[in-house]
Amino acid sequence: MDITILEGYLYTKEHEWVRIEGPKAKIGISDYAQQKLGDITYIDPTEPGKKVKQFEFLTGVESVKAASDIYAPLSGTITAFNTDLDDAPELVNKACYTDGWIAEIEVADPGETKNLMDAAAYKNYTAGLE
Amino acid sequence: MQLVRVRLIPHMPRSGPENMALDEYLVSWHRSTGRPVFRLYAWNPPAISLGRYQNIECIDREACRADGVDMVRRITGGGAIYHDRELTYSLACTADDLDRKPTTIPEYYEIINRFLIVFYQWLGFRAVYAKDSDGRSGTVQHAAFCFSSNEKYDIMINGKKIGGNAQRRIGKTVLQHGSIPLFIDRERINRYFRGEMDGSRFTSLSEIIGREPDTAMKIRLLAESFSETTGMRMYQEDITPEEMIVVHSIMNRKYLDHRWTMEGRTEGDEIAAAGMA
Repeated sequence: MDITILEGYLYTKEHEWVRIEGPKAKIGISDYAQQKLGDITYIDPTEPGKKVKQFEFLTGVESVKAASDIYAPLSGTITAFNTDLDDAPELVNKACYTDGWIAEIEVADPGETKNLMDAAAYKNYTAGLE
Repeated sequence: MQLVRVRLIPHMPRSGPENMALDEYLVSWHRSTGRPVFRLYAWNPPAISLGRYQNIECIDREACRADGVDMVRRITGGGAIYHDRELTYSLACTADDLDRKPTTIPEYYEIINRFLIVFYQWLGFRAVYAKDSDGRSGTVQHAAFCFSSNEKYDIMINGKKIGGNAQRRIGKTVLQHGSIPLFIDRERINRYFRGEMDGSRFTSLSEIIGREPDTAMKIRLLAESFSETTGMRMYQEDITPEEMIVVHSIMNRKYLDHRWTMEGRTEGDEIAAAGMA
């Protein structure tokens, strides 16, 4: 399976990505995840102000009559949800690393990035899954 | 190939909230034991189940209340189903439990739903996946009422969809449940579901056979077709009274909570923790 993995992002074993932007971070799912999920029909909006913990439930996604969980790559407080996904959840399939970002958080502990994979490590990790 | 043993929970009618709490419990049980589990069940009283993220406004709640029809929200995706005279199954497993290892969601449906195809074939019907069906019935369609929408691995007989299946994925665990409609009360469905519905798109076993089917024989066949197609060996182990205490705690916390049913919001964990099992 051909998958796109971008530099400058950090990845989880559950196939979320995070891109640090100063004190905040954008979160989405990787190309590997969106291919496995199939056509995405809904992303549950995250609640601004809600606190999330690293690797714990962030929100849910629906594709092909399946509800799947998305986990937070880092702990923090949710500051935004990508409202473009309300009407166009397929953006996660079409542009998972850019227009298809899901949530933005204020990062609680930048040190938690040590628990994530960079692009090279994630590439090795996904290769081992096939 | 290592033989996989699957726990079979025998057929039993229960209320909608109890059924959904029990299926959620089985996810926890599977995650803590690592063993697959397959359950057959029915609904008493009749209930409408909503998909995890479905808007409840597609249902006429007053009409349901007047008829004593329960309303419950599932943890799985997909559209709403009116559960009355049907067989229902649930399965909690991982890809490693299946003889062909699926990786994408459509592949999971393709591999798991094979037991339904074989079940219908054993009954003498030419059941096929929607993707292999003719014309418009094979195209992907989304609708509030599950039976009138199509995905590639929905099951079709005579060009009409029969039953529906939905999944929940938690880490490596997949919960799939689905229904085999014995009889569809079209008058009730038209009363409970708002909006236009194309009744020509779906069917039931009684409509195909021309009479109400024998339930006991179908329950046995369904378990056998599952074992045959997955290669898993079944051992029957009913839910214990101790397990039912956990099930009822999940039911009381979540499935009897108005906020969960109406809005899909829950105060506790999205899925009961594995430790609860």
